[in-house]
This record gives sequence, structure tokens and C-alpha cells, in this order.
Amino acid sequence: MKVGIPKAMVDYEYPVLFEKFFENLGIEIIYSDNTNSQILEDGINYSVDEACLASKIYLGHVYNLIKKSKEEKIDYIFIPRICSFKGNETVCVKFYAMYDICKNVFDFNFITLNIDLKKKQNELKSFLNLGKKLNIGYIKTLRAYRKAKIYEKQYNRKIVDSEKNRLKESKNTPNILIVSHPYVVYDEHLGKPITKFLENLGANVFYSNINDSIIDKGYQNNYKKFSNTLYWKFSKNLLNGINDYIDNMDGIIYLSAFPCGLDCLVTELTIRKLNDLPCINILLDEQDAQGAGIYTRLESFYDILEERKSRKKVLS
Amino acid sequence: MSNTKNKYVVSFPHLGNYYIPVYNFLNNILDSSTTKILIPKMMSSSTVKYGEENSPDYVCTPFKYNMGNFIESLENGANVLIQAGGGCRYGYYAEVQEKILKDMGYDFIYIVLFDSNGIDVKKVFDIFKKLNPKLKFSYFVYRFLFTLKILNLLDKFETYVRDNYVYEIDAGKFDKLHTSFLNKLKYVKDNKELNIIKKDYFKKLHNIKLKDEAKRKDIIKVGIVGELYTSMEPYSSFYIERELLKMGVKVKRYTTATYLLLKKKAEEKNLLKKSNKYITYALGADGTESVAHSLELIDEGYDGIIHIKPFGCTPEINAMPILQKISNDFNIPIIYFTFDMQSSEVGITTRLEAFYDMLKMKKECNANE
Repeated sequence: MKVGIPKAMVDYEYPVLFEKFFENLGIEIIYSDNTNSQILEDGINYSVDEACLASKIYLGHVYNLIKKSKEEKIDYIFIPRICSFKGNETVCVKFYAMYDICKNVFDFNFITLNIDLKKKQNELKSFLNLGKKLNIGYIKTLRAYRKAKIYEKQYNRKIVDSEKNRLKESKNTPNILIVSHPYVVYDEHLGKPITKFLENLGANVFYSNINDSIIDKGYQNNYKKFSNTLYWKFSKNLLNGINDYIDNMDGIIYLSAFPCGLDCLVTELTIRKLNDLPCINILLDEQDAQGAGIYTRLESFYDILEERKSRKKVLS
Repeated sequence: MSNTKNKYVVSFPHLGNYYIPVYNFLNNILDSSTTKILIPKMMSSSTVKYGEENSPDYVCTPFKYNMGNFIESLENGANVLIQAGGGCRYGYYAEVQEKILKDMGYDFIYIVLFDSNGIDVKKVFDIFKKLNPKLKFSYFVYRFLFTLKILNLLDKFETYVRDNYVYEIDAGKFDKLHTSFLNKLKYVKDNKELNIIKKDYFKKLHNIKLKDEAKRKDIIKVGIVGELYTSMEPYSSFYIERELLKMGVKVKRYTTATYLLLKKKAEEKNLLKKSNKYITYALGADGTESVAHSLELIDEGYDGIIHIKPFGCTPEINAMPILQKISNDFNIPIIYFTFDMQSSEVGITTRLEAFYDMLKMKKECNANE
């Protein structure tokens, strides 16, 4: 059996869990290509024009897999539905609906997994249900899930540790924290060109989505320093990251995809609360995903940081 | 009346005619010797201007309208603001709005009724107790429940008016009765009085002469589905309902405050069942409703559907591709309106007229076949 996974949005939020789960069951995974202008164009064509850029790209990836499906013999395309977690924690409503949207837009076999704690569908249960749908035995599914979960833990620890080391050993140039959803900042077409550009300028770039709270539950409430009533899981994680890194950073870049419903509120509040650190709020839309305007802004932002850093040195 | 006498001036954002039950509630639980209730200025272009200038650029539009209401009230002397809160992004509005307004230099007490977990009556009571130390919990709960009753009655009345407006024979009767009904509701004291009003006004309402069934045939029927704020606050949708009624279109709308507060939770399973051909899971906020109600409207033989939402409303954007499919499958026209802070009504009216002409031609064609 072969399962296609669109390399966008939810896949970045769960970078290894789904992949390892399928691997442990002996199911082959076919990924969509890295985001490119063709995928973006297809995504735009298949989406409602007001949908957010990230979700348009998602549809582009799904279409990319469908085009590949004959050649690669893909049986299902896997589109998880993420909804609610403990307490009032939830995610962007786009994650609620992606499966149903794809089902209505494309004619293909889709398979889903539904994490919705309010409806008593926790992660374990949702994976067991997925196993059932794939006609795989209970024990085998359970074992595959457990193994994937252990791997996820190790993976998270590894990336957090390596980021910490990188911070310790970072050069004397400005440290920049990127506050952005992983599906934006790690995307080949959206965030990658930006981070590469910054690194070429000499900056040390760090990512707020990789932080202590993903390996240790004790850090999970740090976001409250910035926002008390926040209830979006993925935004909470970003704020936890700001708290982790803030003391060592020279500047912050808020990077979001237009018109991200969560970011517009959370970023507004965070910028207002963190008013002593230079920051820049960059909004990516389908027009200037690779436009020159952004690079000019980044460059001048970087100049400010460098200038401030050298002055600080002189003063001390 | 000068504000110096009042220790507290309480205000809240607008949402259609719901300022009436809210006013009634506050009027009864607060002490009038120290507190004044300030109904915010009616929605106008200045509301839009203040809201737009002081909100994040691409936040969904109700945030901006709320901000506009708040700023106008604060400028008129308010020092206690009430925000309802609720699901989707509404639950997070409060914290951001409070921060922005305080950054602007305003000083006020901020009360949030619902958080994303629902309403915590005790917590809300404690805040109101600070404003009126004489307030008793039992009385507070009684007034709260009574307010829901007023709300329910208001919705019933307005739904009846909406359903029958185009069948009216002597133009203007509904409007006149509606205005006097609102005035009565504002100061209603207790159950007894409410029952009298109910009896009286519904009798008057049913006495208004309507066209016979035979003459109703040619009237075009349109259903409005979509996001809650634009559905309930006519200013934010450029009075789309009124425009349609003026054209002589029968309008049906599902979203009311009664529905959202009392019925929504129980309905959810039912809605998903109704629309299981198209969706498996809830789409978030009112997205599921939009799909299920559209299917219902088709069943009931409506000629067209209007889907409305403010700019950036993700749940309704989720519903749109599904509605497009439904539109194709059932060959039913659906028009999508997105309302932003633009101040021109003309664009909306033109599209609405074109939609109406199209529906009319379609109906005539079908009749001739």
C-alpha cells in the first residue's frame, strides 16, 4: 500500500509522527514535491481566492500528488484533521476543514485521522481508528503508534538540543528570532528564501517553534507572559519559543502568510508587549512570495540590528 | 445629564437590535444612582474610521466594528466596557482590544462575558457586584435568564417580520409595529409585563393583512447563510436584507442570537447528519451551518442562496468550496459576499440586482418549460 502525504501545513506541525507511523506499518510514503511556482499556481487555481496562502499551497500539494498518483500508484492521500486538545486548546479552523475541502474539490481517495479531544477522540484513539480504516490489526497499530511516538520524542529532543548548541556557538553577528508557523518558515517557496537571505547577510537565524515546551511540559505555560487568554496550540508554541530565546536575540521577525487569522491578532499583541526589541512584521502573499520588496526590508532591518549591536559593544 | 454624577458609565458593542435586551439587563442589575448605561452611537462612517485606524490590518471585520463602537463610547465618557466573546476568533478579541485601547491611553474596566469555554456566571457576577455592591446573586441569575427570554421574543418577532415582510399589503405596517415593539422591550420589568407585550404585539402582528397564497407564487425566495456578525448586524452587511426586501424578495435567515446561545450546541450532530454527503466533520464556527442550511434551503425550494461573511472569516472560507460543489450538483445559484470596511454601498447593490435579475429569468424560464 502507498500513502501520499502533502508536504505542507499540518505535515510541518507533525514532522515525524505520521511518517514514522506509516513506516512502522510497512506502508510506503510518497511525498509531494517541494513547493514551487507550479504548485503555488495550481493551489491558487483550486482554492477560493480569499483562502490563506498556506492553505492554497496545501491544495497545490494535494494536486501534485494526484498528478503523481498513476505513476507512483498512490492508494490514498493522507489528510489529518486536527481540531481540539486539552482544556480549551484548539487550532486554526483551517485544520478542521482541510479533509472535507479536499474531498469536495478533488476526486480521489482520501484518508484521515481525527484528533478532537472535545469529541473524545484523543491522539491514540484517532490512530487506532486510522489503523482500522486501513484494515490493520489493533495490536499492530498500537505498536506502530507507540514506536512512532517514542521516535517523535527523541527527534524533538535532538532538534531542541542542536538549536541550543547553535545558539551557544553562534558568531558575533546579530541573532534573529523568526516567529512563524513552521509551514511558512520552512516552506521552500515562502520562508526558506528569506532565511537563506538572512544567513547570507551573516545573521544567526533561530526559530521560535523549536523550544523547550515541545520536550518538557513544564515549559508549556510560558506563553502566558505575553498572552493570558490564548487558546491556539500552534500560536502558544510560538510564544513559548519567544520566551525561550528572547534574552539572547537582537531582533525578531514575525513572518506570516496572508491573511493568517491567528497571526494578525497574536502578532499585534506580542509586538505591543515586546516593545523594547526591534522587530519587523512580514506578510507573504501570492504576489511577492519571491519579490524584491521583502529583501530590501530585510536588508535594512539587518543593518539596524548590526548598528545597534556595534553601539552596544562600544558603550560597554 | 452630566457625567460627573456617575461613577460608572457602562457601554458595549452593537449587534443589530440586541442592544435592547442588553440595555434592559444592565438597567436592572446596575444602580442607577451611580451608573449610567451608554448605548453606543449608532453605527456610522465614523465607527468604521475609528475601528479601521486602530485595529490590526487584516483581522476579521467584526473586530474593527467592535473597536469603533468602543472608541466612540469611550470618547463619550464610558469607563466600563463589556465584550461578549465566544467561539472562533471572538474569544481572543477581548485581550487584544483591551491592550490596544489601553495603549491609546483610555482608562476603563473591561468585562468579558464568555470565554472559549462558555460563560462562567459566578465570575461575571463578581465583576458586576463591584459595580453595584447591592446586587444579589439570585437576582442576577434571574435577570440573566429573563434577558434570554426577551432575546428569544425579539428574535421570534423579527423572524416573523422577515418571513412575511414581502407579503405585506399596506406597506409600512410591519416597520411601524417593529419600532414600537422595540421601545416596549427596552424597559420591560418582569415576566408579567413581558407576557402582556407578547400577547398584545403578536396579536397585532398576526392581524397585519398578507397576500393570499395564490399571489405569492411569483415572489422570489432567497436564503441568507454565513457568518454570524454580518448576518445579525445590518450595518456591516450594508443592509443586505433590507435591500432584498425592498426588491420584493422573500428572505430567510437562520442565524439569530437565540440560535447561537441556546440551540447551536444541540443542533451540531443534526447538521452534520444532514450534510453528510458533503462533509464528515464540523468546519468550525458557523461553517457547518452554512452547508447544512444551504441544503435545507434547496429542499424547501428556494430560488437562490446568498452567502455572506466579513473579510478574513476562515470558517466561512472553509465552507465556500463545499457550497460551490452543492451549487453545481443542485443547479442552484449561490452568490458570495465578503464585507470589508469599504464605505460604498453601490458595488453591493449592483451585484445584488444582477443576482436578482438572474434568479427572475431563471424562474420565468422554468415556468415556461
